[in-house]
Amino acid sequence: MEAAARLRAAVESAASGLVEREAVAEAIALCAVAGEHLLLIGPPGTAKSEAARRMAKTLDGSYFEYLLGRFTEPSELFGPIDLRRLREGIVETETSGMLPEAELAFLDEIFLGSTAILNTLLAILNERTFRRGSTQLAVPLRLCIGASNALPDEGALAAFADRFLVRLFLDPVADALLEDLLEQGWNRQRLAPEPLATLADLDRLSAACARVELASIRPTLAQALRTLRQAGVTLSDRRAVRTQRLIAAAATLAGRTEATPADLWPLIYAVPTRDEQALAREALRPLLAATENAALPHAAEEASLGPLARAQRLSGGIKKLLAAPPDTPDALAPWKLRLEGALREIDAGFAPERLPADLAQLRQKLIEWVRV
Amino acid sequence: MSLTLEWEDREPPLAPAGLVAFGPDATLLAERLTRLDAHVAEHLRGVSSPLTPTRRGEYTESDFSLSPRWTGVRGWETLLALLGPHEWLPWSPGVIYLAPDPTVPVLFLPTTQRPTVPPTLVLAALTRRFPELRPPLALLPTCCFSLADASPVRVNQAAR
Repeated sequence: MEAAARLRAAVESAASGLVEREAVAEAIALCAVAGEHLLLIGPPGTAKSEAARRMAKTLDGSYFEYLLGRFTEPSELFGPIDLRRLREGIVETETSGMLPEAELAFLDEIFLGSTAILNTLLAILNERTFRRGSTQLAVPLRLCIGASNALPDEGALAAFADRFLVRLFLDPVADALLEDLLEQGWNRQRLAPEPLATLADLDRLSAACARVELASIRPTLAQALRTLRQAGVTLSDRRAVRTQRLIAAAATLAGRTEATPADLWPLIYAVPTRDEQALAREALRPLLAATENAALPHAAEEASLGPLARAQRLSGGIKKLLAAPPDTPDALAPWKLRLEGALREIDAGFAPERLPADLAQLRQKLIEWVRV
Repeated sequence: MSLTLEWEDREPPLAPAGLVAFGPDATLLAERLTRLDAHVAEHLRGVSSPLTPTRRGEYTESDFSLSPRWTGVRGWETLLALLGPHEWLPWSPGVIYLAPDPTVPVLFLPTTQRPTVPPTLVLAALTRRFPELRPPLALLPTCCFSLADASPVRVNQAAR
């Protein structure tokens, strides 16, 4: 499907200006196709908003971004009250350029929002409807990305957080990648992503997602949910049901019209906390070993930590590296270091007898280049 | 008491925190170290032979009958092991990447394998049978050696 290829190009373009945020860009694509919302949990300065902004640019959608605080007024998100209409005794909101008109939204520190904000947001997230006073609008929102330093403890906030089906936990960039981080950060303005896909592509993929055949995978998913319960990881019924949308989206982006066991990896992202996600990976290890997604290799691997997904992610990265050998002598040494890094990942990640054949071939090519 | 130590695949693999090379591979690794940038080398610590690795066949009534499944170990002339954060570890042909077991951090194992016996029992058996080996220890299916003397890597001495 051409739309899937364009979305893949958009994801790659968005992620190319960031370091170690490929899985975030891919999770945004997965959620956008599934029609679900994404929660990014991590310390400040981990490129959460930048990843969202870059994806919005590559998807060419109207984008709304806001940093919430304890004293944020509803009008800062939804628009001011229309004073002319107020004189007539009607409370109407002027939503032009505000969240109710956005197709993609990023709300930082989302749990700091007041009750009034969160209640209005709830209707936007759940029903794609904006209701305030006399104003009632169908909103065009495809995806809302919420961000926070931590998950909320309060019951009311936890219930709100439950509306974000996908949870991604982020860490700062590793020490050895700091050079890459600085370089990418410096070049980011110059390398701003171009629109490579459209919301029409997204809508086509969402429609295909809704048609994905799930009947054959449902018993396996039910068994996985039972396994999770036995391991002490409980998904609310709502989350369990909606996980099917993620699985269907994963299948669609992998080019499948019927979901297979390979598409079960998004289940991990529907598990609410980081510790429970780790438990779920352990409990579902045999199942996750068979999961992969060529279109979303980083997200699939981060979810499953399975060998197939790992091999696929490594293969994709190595092919890209080998396709772009440096054209200046100065660039050769840093490039060869990257090749060695890939070799290290292969040798540390696969026992020789378990190395998939295509990855073994790529390993051989890497060695030939390293020896040049 | 005799104990047969069997190994199984570890999935997912551990993030490497060290590596070891033997024989000709150790020589290649040492050559690789000479080409490391100083700022990379300062993250690494190393030990090299002469060590007293405990080998299969050295003890006729060994506490361990070690599995021959691992095929990456070749030769015993020299041994060179490095410790350091995984991002800084070099690659060289034939190296075996190691990582501390999550439950017993003083026991380094291959990143892709683990003994079927709980690592606490393995460590207890190793320290009883080989009291001369000070922890942290590295255990491979074919050998065990101490990493206690790991010291900063001096790049220009590594190849000697």
